[in-house]
Amino acid sequence: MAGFRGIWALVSTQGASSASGAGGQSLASEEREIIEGMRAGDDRAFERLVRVHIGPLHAVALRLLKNDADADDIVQEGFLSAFRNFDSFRGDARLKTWLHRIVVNAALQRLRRSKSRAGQQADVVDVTELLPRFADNGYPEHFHQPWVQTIEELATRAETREQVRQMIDKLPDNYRTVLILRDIEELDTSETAELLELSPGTVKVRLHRARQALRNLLERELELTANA
Amino acid sequence: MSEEDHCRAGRHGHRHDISCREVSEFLLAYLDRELDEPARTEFERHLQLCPPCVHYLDGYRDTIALVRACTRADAAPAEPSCESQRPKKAPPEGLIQAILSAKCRAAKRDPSE
Repeated sequence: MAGFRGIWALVSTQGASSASGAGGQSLASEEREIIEGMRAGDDRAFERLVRVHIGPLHAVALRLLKNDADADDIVQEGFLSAFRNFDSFRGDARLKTWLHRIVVNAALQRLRRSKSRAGQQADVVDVTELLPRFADNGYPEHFHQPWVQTIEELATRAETREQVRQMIDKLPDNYRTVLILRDIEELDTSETAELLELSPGTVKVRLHRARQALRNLLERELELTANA
Repeated sequence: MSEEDHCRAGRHGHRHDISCREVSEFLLAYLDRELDEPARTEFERHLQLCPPCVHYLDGYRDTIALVRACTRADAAPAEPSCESQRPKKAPPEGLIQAILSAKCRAAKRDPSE
């Protein structure tokens, strides 16, 4: 659990900055009851905290770790950490934001540890091969065509949604995590940089390459152009 | 004029001050509105003359939108139709019980919590 200690300052300040998103209105009554119950040591408040937040937290852990058992483990670790460190939760922050940072940070730590043990997975794509190529004079080697299907058409098909998720999972972890945090979890560049221990510039470069690689992969695998 | 010719129109009078490679490289900065005004103007002038770069930009934007659309209802299994009628995935009760038990054990080990 020692790995959690260093993030409390981070999650406190970031939680606070996200709390005013709903026009500065007071916390929802359920959230207030949970917070008051947690501070009073009420077991039922902890159970409500778990039941209200476990779904999205498990989803983000699963996105990052790609493994149910690891996601379960990290979510459990995250809730226990939140229980032990609830004193550090600031009342002006959203519980959802605070818990999200705890679980994301724990999942990233797990990912770093498992990567150093196991190396890269076999079905991961080479991002550099999926980036657009240019001649010396700056002209593209391949002239891009418009996509023949709209996002709405694509996203309504369950099979396509599953294919898209699988293609995201094929990106190398250092690109995949940036894409998940920026484009799915919608964290900003500085939050992402802090969680991943990278510079903001590196986050931007990786996000751009991840999107470019995924764009190419989607176009090719889903046959999105008339020439496909 | 084909799109390829159009893109290469720099040779025929529509001089591009930035290349297709630079458009690709600075796409993120453009979308995040981080280009200064002269660079943004050059970028947009290139787009007016270069349909392939416009298609690339559109596909890039669509990729972001598709990622969001396909992960919003995350963990939804591949199954036909009735998307809106599908019940939300139930919370994993076994995991909830495991967390509650672990918390009880942790509280007993350190009653101050």
